[in-house]
Amino acid sequence: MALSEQLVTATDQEVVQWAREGQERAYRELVRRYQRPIFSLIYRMVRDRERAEDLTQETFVKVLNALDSYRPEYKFSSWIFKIANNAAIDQLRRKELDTLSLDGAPDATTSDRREGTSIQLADGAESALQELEARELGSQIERAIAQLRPQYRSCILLRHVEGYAYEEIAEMLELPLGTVKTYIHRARVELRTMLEPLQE
Amino acid sequence: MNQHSVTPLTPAEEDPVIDKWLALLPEFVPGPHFEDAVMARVRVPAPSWVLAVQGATRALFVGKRAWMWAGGLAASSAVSIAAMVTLFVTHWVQVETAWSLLAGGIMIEAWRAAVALTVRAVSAGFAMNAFWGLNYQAFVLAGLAGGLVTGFSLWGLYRMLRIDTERISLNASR
Repeated sequence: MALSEQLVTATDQEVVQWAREGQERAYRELVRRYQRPIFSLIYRMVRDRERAEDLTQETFVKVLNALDSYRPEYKFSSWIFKIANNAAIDQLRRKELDTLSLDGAPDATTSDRREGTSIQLADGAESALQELEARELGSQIERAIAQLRPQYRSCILLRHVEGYAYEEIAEMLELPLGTVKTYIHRARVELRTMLEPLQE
Repeated sequence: MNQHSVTPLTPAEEDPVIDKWLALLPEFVPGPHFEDAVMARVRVPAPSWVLAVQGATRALFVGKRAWMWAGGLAASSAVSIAAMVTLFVTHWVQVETAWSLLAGGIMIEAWRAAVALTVRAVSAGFAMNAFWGLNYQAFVLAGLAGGLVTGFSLWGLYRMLRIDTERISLNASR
């Protein structure tokens, strides 16, 4: 089987091993596997497309240049999400950012900036009306998530969107397990409260 | 959702409202050249076979082995030189004869070639002179112009190469 075919079906650990052996295609495979989830997490955390793209790039560069220090007994996904989350939290600490908008950052004054900060959804075959409704609905959910505290936001996204176990989230965010459970519980309560009007 | 195993929600965690809303969250995609932008900043190590060859080569020249290699090269050079000197001393007459024959042959051939080339160039010049009806001053002028152009070209080439060499050495020292 050709390497490109093997890469698609290989585990993360195997791909990392090939990358360590100098296979550039293995590096690219890791980027392809994680660019969407990592970018989505960071974007939802920092709420600015340009910054999110920069931070995602930084995360990948940091991870891929440090593959030698990666220990295969741990999940690669946990490692990269941990670095991505740290990058996003650091960014939030440095600068308080505005709320998310599907139409671009509120501070966008030029069309370029609006385009640069607007959300680009993944490809989907939706009608214009469905897309509009989904955008409106999605916008409200995104706004609700954006109002959560950053720690709650990380926890709820990693748990409910990425599907990580509490233990893994605790390890990634370097928080006690009890704290993670509390954060997720509180985040869900807050989200339910904020999204209640949508149920009607 | 990613390649990692997804941990299902426990019954206590299940919340149809939250699940419904979070299921609507789209996946965001970075810009079109994201992968290339990342790869441009990643240091991909050399393939393992290159590293193995490098390691083996380096190992050859480390510690005692390096001295062994240096000693071997020096000894083989010394033996070759000694053999040549011995040959010259012991068979001087034969060496001299062989050399004069070889050198003489080469010199004669080189002389013949130079003469033929010159004769051809001069006759071509006279032929052109006859055809265009030029006098010898035109020849001299053309020769001078050609010489000047060649000189300027060589000078320009030298300048360009010198500037580039300076730039390269400047960049290397940064």
